[in-house]
Amino acid sequence: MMQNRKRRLAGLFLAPSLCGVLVFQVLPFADVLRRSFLDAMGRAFVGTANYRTVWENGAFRMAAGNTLHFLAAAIPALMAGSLMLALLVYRPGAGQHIFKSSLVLPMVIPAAAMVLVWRILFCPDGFLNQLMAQITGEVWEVDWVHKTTAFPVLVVTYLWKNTGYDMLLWLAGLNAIPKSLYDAAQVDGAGELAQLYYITLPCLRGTMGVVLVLSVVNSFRVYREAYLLAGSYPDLSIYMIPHLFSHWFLTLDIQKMSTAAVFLVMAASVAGAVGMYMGRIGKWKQM
Amino acid sequence: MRGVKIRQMLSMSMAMMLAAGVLAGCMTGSKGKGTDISGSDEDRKERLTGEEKRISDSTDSSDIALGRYAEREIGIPQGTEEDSLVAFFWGQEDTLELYTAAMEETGERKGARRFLWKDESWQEDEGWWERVKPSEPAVTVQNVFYGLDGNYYFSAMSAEGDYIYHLYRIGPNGSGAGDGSMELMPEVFAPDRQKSYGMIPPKAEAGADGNILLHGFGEAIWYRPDGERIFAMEKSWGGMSEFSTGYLTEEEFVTRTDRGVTRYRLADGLEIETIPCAYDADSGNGDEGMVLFGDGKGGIYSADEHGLAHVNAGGSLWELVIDGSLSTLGMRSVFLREFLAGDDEDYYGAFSKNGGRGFLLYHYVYDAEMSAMPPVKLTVYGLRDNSTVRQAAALFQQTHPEVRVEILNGADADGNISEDMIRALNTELLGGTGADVLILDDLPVKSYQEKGILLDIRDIFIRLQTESPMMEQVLENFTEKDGAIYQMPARITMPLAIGGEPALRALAGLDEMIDYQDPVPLLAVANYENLLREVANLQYPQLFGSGKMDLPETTGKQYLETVRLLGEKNGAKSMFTEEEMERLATSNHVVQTGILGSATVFDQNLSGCGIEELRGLYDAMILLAVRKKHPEASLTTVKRLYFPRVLSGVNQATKHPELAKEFVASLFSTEVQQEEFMDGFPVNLAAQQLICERENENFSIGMGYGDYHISANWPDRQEREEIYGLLRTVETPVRIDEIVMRMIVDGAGNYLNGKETVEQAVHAIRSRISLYRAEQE
Repeated sequence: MMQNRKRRLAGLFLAPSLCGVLVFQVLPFADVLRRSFLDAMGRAFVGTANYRTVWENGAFRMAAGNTLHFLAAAIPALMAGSLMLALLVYRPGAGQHIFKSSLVLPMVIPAAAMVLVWRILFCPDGFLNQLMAQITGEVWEVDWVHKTTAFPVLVVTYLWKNTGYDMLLWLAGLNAIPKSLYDAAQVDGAGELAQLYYITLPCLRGTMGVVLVLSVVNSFRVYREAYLLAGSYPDLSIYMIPHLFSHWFLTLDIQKMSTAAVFLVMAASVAGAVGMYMGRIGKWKQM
Repeated sequence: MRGVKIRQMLSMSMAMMLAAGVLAGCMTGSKGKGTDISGSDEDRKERLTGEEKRISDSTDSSDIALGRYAEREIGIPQGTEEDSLVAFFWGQEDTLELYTAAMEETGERKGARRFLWKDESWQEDEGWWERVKPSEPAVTVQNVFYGLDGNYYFSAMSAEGDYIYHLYRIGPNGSGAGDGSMELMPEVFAPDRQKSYGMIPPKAEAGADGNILLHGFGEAIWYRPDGERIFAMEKSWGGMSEFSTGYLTEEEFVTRTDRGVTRYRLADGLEIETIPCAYDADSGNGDEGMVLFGDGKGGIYSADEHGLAHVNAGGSLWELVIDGSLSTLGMRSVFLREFLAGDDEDYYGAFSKNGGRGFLLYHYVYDAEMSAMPPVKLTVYGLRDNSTVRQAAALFQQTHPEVRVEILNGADADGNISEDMIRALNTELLGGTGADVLILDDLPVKSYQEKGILLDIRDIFIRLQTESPMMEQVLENFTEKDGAIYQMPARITMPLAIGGEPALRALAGLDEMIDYQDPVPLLAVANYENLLREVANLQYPQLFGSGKMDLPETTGKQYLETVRLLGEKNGAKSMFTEEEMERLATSNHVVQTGILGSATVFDQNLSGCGIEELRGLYDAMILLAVRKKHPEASLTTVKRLYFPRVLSGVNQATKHPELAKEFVASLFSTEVQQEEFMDGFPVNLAAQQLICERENENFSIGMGYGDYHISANWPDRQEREEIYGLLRTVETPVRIDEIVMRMIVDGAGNYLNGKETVEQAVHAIRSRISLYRAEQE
């Protein structure tokens, strides 16, 4: 009886949020799903023709491949880097708060301002080329943003922007680990590395799922930086799904956008499922 | 406990009342809004004119506000149809006065005639000019005005010898009888040293104390009648030699400055206040044609193509009195010269016709029975403002009083367009709304056509070809294989080349351009982006003739190598310094076709040929003047290419398909097409003929830089026929996708700057173009 009442109360509190999700997420996606089976203006049913078109579309394949490439390169680096920083910050010491704040600062810097600085750094007569010229004694005029080097530049941009945020997530996970576990390990003579390997990392598996999902979601937002840095048709190595969506909207290819969005949701669902699975494994292990 | 329950019930009932109130407010329509609405809906409908009523009955709108200013043409005096308008103002005893002057073949004004509005007709003051004109020197009248001191004045230019401005005060009754005219301040207008002209103010006014205000080109100067300068006040100038914005009151001078509308105190010349203009100066025609005048109570009226607006003394919010889009004010073929307030909340407007020959007078009277806004709205969307569209809209509204044509432009105040503007339009089109008529320049037309956004408008052109035919080849170029027509250019521009035979032959293809061996470079110096664009446009059939916007590897390499070779010969750079631009008469400004205009460069023997993109006869003037200096040079089209402009189409989802089609048809009508707005040549053959026949001898232009100077007159009949003869030979529309052009420009930069091989550059460009094409598969 009590449990039922609690459930109803929880449902009541969740209702406004669920309404928002229903109106702004679920229903539009249902429309997107519908449009993926219709022609561009939504007038005629075309069956699975759009799915075939998009699946065989060279631009979509390139964008999807680049997006996966980006995820493969940036996500592990981000997760490892932010975890390392979290472990460093987690140790109590002088300046810990300043260190934390400075790492979170990139999140509040507007993308346009950040891109301006990036251009100064990476343009052909920018700071990086001058630095390289100083080191090597040769003239450096590499256009870092418009050549294949654009990919590492974008990865660095993403890491710089998101490391602080992920670090906070890891810190939350670290704070949840009972101190008693470390005390017991110390009594047993475990060193710092052993504590990390046998206590910290297993206990953080639950957090890892959350960090992974949020990092993947955030990685889709890197389009803003890519667009501001290199325009609507950048170097092919950083041509992402949002570039394609943007161009398809310009040419009113709504049916292709809808279909690609369905593909994307399917892929994201798989990634989410993996994340949740990892989270559950973490919880079981902790139990 | 009970108290808590009561409070809860009370708060609950109050919340419900609030919610009900909000909902009721939301659900209430616009009934009762507006102060001009009176009586029931039926009463209001009863008062509508027949045509408006028919439309009103067919629409769902039940709220029709009444009352707006009606524009009525005032007949002009007989025999003045071809005269130029000299002045139009309230004279002595509040009589409306009109001054006109016949124009000689040279464009100079011959004497002047004075008319007074009495008993609802114009009565001429016979012999007025003979009475007031000075015996020496011979002058041509420029302007006549009535000073606040109660005297009449006129300004004139010397008809012979030096080009000198003269200002005369006429006798107090304006007749000049008795005391004749007295010249004022001749020393102020005397020629400067070593020059044949002195100060030539576009406008002069007289204050209550007899002081004279001369409008200059960046300031207005306040003089005593004896020529002593008192002070100057900053003002802007719209670029017209006989027009300047501003007016005097007994204590103030009100004018247009770069910051807005500024009031100056005449006692000391200090600024009292500046308020924003009624409309953004960058929208429409800017401050050209803006007339400011007072309401007699300290308020200001501002009239321009947007309409007549009024602001009260001390205020800064303008109230729209007459909507320009519903009157002649919005027409681009006429030039607003004067706007006056009448005695009975009525207004008078005077407009010059294009070229200054002929004028129109209108009376604006408030009609309480007229619907405040025509019941039907037809929207026309284009990324950029266009004069042909505005002209068509103004004329369309005159013939369709039940329709209001609303023109929407996507470009920002600086005329820039961005992808976001196209996205915003797409959002509307996707929702089945959007404008009724689309001006498709720089929009993804092909995509719109494929998606079924555009209506097949072939019936318009089938009818037009029988009534008033347009250029057959243009019609064919924009007719689909199945006979459907989704877009049609209302204007076209054409690249015209001047030069010796070898140079003109070298324009035939990329091979010929490379093979051109003359020590003088083939094309005029330009920055690399313009050069890339120019060559791409001139060699359009070779580069993109397939229409697929592909760039084959061999052709791409040849194209980039040609541009580099041409650039090495003519000294092209990515970016020029100010000094280089001045010296080489070039610009860093990038134009879409890359054709900056280089007839004068050819004239100086700095290039083998000069190429101009002609948008009308005005653009041909310098070209023809250069040809006169080089009789050995030929004038020819470049591979019979032309650039389509003002591409017009109709939105499939329009609620008024017939009206929208009719509007598109009006864009191609002789009446609209015969006007020259510098946005392209007409495609209508009758309009072309009319323009060929039209004289405009008084129009001349000059240009120069450094030691070079050239002047040109309006083309004579033979030259006009020649230009239009060339226009009729064009047959290939150039339609380079701007995204592809941008990719070429971005990809070629490093090769042209010597940092990459041509293979690398072509590979980079081709891979981007392939991606772009793949997106569309």
